Amino acid sequence: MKLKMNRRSVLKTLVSSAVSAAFLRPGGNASAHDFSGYETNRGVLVDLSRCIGCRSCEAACNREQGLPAPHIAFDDQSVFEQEHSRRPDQNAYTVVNKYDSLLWEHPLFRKIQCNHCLEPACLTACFVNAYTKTPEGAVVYNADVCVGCRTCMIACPFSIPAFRYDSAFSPRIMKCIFCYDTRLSKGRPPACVEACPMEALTFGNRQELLSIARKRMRREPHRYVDYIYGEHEAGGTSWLYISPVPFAKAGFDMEVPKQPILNFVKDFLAMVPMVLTIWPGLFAGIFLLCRRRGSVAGTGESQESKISGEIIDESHGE
Amino acid sequence: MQHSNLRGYIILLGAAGVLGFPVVFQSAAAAVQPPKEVRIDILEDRYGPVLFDHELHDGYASCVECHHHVAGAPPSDPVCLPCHKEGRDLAEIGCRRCHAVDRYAAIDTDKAGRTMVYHDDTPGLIGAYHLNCISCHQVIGTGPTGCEACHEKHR
Ligand code: SF4
Ligand code: SF4
Repeated sequence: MKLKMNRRSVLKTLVSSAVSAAFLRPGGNASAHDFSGYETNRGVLVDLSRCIGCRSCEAACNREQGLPAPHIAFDDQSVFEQEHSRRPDQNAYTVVNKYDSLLWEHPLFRKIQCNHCLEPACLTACFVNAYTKTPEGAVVYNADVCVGCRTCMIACPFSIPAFRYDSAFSPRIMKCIFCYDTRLSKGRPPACVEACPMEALTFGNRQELLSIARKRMRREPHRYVDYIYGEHEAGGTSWLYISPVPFAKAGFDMEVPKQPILNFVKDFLAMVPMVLTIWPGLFAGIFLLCRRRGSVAGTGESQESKISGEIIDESHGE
Repeated sequence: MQHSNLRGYIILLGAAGVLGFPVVFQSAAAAVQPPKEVRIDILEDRYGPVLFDHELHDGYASCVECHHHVAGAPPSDPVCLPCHKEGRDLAEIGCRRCHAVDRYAAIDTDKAGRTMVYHDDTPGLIGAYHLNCISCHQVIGTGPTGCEACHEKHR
């Protein structure tokens, strides 16, 4: 496999390796493994062998969430040739990509959206609690408290949250919310599921979906590889996938850890109080030191008063 | 006209299904002639009607390949067979007898996980059509697989 590195993955690696080097105790933190989600956690089972790439799900999502018109119309299949490896972004909470595989009788398509993790890294990483995991399983976001720091974008193992740049003063993360307000909270499936003509998307309780997935595999073993993506990835996700070809061949990231990102992030979070208390003092100290060095050779008057005067001046100037 | 007869037939089947009356096919195929063409126009606000050539498909596939069973006979699907070997369900070959028109009706989603032990993965009517048609076309390499080959867009 090709080694792909982008800024996000470099950052992620840096953060997690620094954090784990500093804080992970060997053999420790097994506790979070036991959590298998709310009992009421709904989910969607995506069957890649069924998807025909009609993009009805994309169109339904666009309509339901009032998103801007796409630049390539939803009924235009040429999008698969024009743009490979599309990602959800601020204008589309879900996209479908095409994967040609010699291992299967027809081209494969895969829908991408937020997986609504059982223990969402985005939620854990957000220090103003802009994210909520609802008992139905949706991971929803509150723009009112978001400060736009974009830590969630780095934390998400599936690179899902996108940032809307059009207004610098009202930061907004854009991502699939499982149609929570309009549908899921009322017991209805998300718009994409209802629109899918192939029932490539099956809505239900996560536990039940796992058993449906296993049943399909047992009934038609030639049709599926023996793996359910999302059963354990990132500690388990509400959206689950079954596929006729190895998942890596359909663009799935097999490097996603099998334990909740929480296990890394919570150690990172333990750092936050330290960051808040020690770092300001530390940096102020360094700052003062630098200033001092610069002006020691100057006048003989009290350094202390001069420096604090300058600082006040600067803050006035802002 | 052919179509109105056919419509009547479909409505009869549908109504009977909804009301829970089995449509009895006496001495199997002799009583009711299978339709030559089926017209599906539920999406007529957006697309032209789908005209399914039932007669043409008669040559491609045996009845049970799509219907899972013929009237009066047990189903060929090993998943259905254990429970539905006999009984009045066998008289009915209309799709919606088993494939729900509203796949995620609240009544079903509420029941999910408790009583739907055996019927937890039965595709809805729309899913059943598309899965049956497209999957077969893909495998045999002929017949429409794209959307607009069946759902002609209004121009
Ligand atoms: S997939 Fe990413 S954005 Fe969605 S719940 Fe998981 S961590 Fe959060
Ligand atoms: S609506 Fe269903 S079949 Fe169509 S692209 Fe989406 S998942 Fe695939």
